[in-house]
Amino acid sequence: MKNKFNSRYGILIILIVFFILISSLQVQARKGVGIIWHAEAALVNEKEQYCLTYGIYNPWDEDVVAIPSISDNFKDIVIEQEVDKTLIKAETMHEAAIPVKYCFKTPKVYEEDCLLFNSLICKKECNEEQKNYKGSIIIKEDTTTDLQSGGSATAFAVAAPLELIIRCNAHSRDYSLVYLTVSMIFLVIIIVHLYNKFRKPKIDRYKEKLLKLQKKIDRTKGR
Amino acid sequence: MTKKREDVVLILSIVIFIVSLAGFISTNPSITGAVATSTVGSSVDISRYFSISASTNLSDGIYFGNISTLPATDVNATDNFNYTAVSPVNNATLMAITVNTDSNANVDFCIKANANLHNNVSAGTIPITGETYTAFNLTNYTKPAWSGSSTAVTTSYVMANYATGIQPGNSSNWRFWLDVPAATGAGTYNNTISFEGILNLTGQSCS
Repeated sequence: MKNKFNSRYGILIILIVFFILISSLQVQARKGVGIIWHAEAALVNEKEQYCLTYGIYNPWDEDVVAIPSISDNFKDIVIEQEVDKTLIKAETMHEAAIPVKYCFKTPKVYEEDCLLFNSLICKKECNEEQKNYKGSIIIKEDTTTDLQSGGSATAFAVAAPLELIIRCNAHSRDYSLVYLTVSMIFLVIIIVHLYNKFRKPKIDRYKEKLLKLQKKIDRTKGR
Repeated sequence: MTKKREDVVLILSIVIFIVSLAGFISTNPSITGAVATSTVGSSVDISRYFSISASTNLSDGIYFGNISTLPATDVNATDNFNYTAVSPVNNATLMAITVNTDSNANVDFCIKANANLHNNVSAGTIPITGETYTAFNLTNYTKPAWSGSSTAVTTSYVMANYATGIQPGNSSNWRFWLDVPAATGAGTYNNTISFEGILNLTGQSCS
């Protein structure tokens, strides 16, 4: 009876030891970076600024310095990256992630058919394939491994996917400049006409001038 | 007669002015006070997040020890089989990257090297074609696989074999090997291996 009891305890102890060993095999993770995002794709207009906010967090048990970055595909269109390098305190869970704002400005990517100077009186037909920018928002862990001997230093990062789809807004030829120019020209013509029409005749103007001159002469004589 | 002609010209001018002004206004709806619509973007309405951390042995660097016989093939990284415990986890690797439980996405891992291993003094190099790795989502003596199944690192990110779909709370475990050519001069050679965790989703690629 006692032997049975002891062997049960023995098995239990072995199981506990085995469990501890297995648990301890879990990597001794100490610090790391995390990323939270709310969009993986966005529709944007040409030549328009578009901003997105990402979050950086560190649920691990040591502080970490994180470096926000972007993949090469976005390097030409990013115009603002709010944070360059930031300390993320240990046990910063995803709900308390530190926001990082990225702003992009897309270039003109779709062809326009213009009549003047390649930029005036244009129409856009949008027959081309839809264009996009596909890449990643990257958060790097700022680690400088001080290698003790020959081998490889290591660096770690997390990345969130992002696709900016450029919307093509088709429009017929824009004649507004022509309309504006013509209306301005004819406005001037109308003003000149009206001025000539309603001003006093030449003879009346000469008479008025003569009268003024006569009064001046009279005044001079009166002295 | 002249006056009448002038009046005709004036009337015609007014008509043309009105027509062209109307044309201009109609091509610029914002002038009329019409609502100018601008669609800024569209996005999914859910959040994704994940966090990774390397084991101390991996974040401290990958070492290959002292090599005294050249050429050397498939030299083990010092932590490849360095976990000392009772079977079945004895001789497991100590190099791993863990996905934190505070994550709601599975993670794939990409790997790259910045350059060949380089000696700062002699400017000699060891080609990264000889720096190879294997990965697996558990570790023991036989997992991750040994050098026979290893893949060479490259200078651009590639998704590592068997380092995909790592779930929150789990780890991707790694082993590394190095080939050193006979003509390599004595000295210390270094480079940097980078790991990038990306969302495990069809169509995603390393950046």
